Amino acid sequence: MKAEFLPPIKRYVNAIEWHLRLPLREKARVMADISSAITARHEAGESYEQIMADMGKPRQVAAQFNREMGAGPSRVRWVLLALAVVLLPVTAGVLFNLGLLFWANHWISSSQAAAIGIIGGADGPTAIFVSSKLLGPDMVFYFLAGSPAVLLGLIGWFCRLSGWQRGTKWLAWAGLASHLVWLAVCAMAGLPGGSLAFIGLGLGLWLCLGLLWREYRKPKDEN
Amino acid sequence: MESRFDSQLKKGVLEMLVLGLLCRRQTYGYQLLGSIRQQSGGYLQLKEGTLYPILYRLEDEGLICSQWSAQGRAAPKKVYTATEAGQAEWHRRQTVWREFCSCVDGFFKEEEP
Repeated sequence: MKAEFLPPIKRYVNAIEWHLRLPLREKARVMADISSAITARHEAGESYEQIMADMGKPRQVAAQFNREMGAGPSRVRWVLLALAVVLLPVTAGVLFNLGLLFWANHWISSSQAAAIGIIGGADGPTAIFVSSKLLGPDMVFYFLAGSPAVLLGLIGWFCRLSGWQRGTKWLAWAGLASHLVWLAVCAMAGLPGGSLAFIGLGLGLWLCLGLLWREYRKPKDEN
Repeated sequence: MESRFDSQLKKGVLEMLVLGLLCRRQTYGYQLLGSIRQQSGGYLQLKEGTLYPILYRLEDEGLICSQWSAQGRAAPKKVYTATEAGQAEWHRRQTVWREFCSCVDGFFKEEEP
C-alpha cells in the first residue's frame, strides 16, 4: 500500500522503524512497545496528533533508541571504503588520461598531435579516442572510465552507513552526472551498442541511483 | 539546554527509579512515564526512547519481567513487574544511594563556614 494512503499515525510508526539501526529482534521489540505506548496514550484521551507531537519526530525517536541501545554503524561500510581506496588510483588514471585528451585536443598543434599518435586534422575527441596511442587498450579504458561514478557512489554509501547523511545525495548526483557525461562522450566516440549498454548500466549508475532512492524515498512523515 | 552534569546525574538514577516504581506495583510503559513525571514534580520528563531501553536492560538482567495483557481491550498492553531478584536489587541500590548521598553531603558540609 502506498505510504500516502496510510493513516498519519501508521506512517509515523513506519518512519520510526525506517530509522532504527538495530538487529531485527530488537527492532521488533521496540516497535511492539512503541505501538503499545501509542495505543495506551490514545486510550487515555490523547489524539494521534498530540501523541506524535509529544513523542517527537520519527528520526529523533529512532535516534534515542539507537543511542540508548548501542546501535552502531554498519560494518559493511569498511568493505565499501576498501573498494573505494582500491578504485582511487584507477579513477586518478582515468582523469589523468582525460586531462591529456583535452590538452591534446585544444592546446597542441596538429603536427605535435601526429607525433604522439593522434589523427592529424581531426577535431573533437572522437578521432583521438579512435586512434590515440596515449589511451592504450581503448576498450579497457572505456570500461574503466565509469570509475568516477563508482568511486563517488562507494564514498556516498560509506558516508550514509557511517551516519553522515548530509551531502550523500550531492555525491550521488555528482556520480550520476559523471556517469551520464561519460556515456554521452562514449556515444559520440562511436562505441558499439553493446559496449555503450555495458557502460550505461555500469556499477556506478546503480550505486548512485540507490543512494538517491534511499534519500528521496524515505517515509513522508519526516517533519 | 541541559548541562552534561545534569544529564549524567539523571542518567545515573533513572534505572534505579524505574526499578523502584515497578517494585511498588506492576505497570505499563506509558503509566511509568506519567508516574516519573508526577513524582519528580516535572523535573524528570522521559521520552519513550529513554524509558524503554531502561526497561529492556532491567528485563535482560532478570530484575523485571513483562507480559502482554489484553484485559478485554482490542490492543494488548505490555505490563512490567519486578521479580524477586529485582526487589532485592532495589533494596541494595537504595542502600548504595544513601551511602553515596551521605558521602557527597559530607563534601558540602566541609565547605560550610
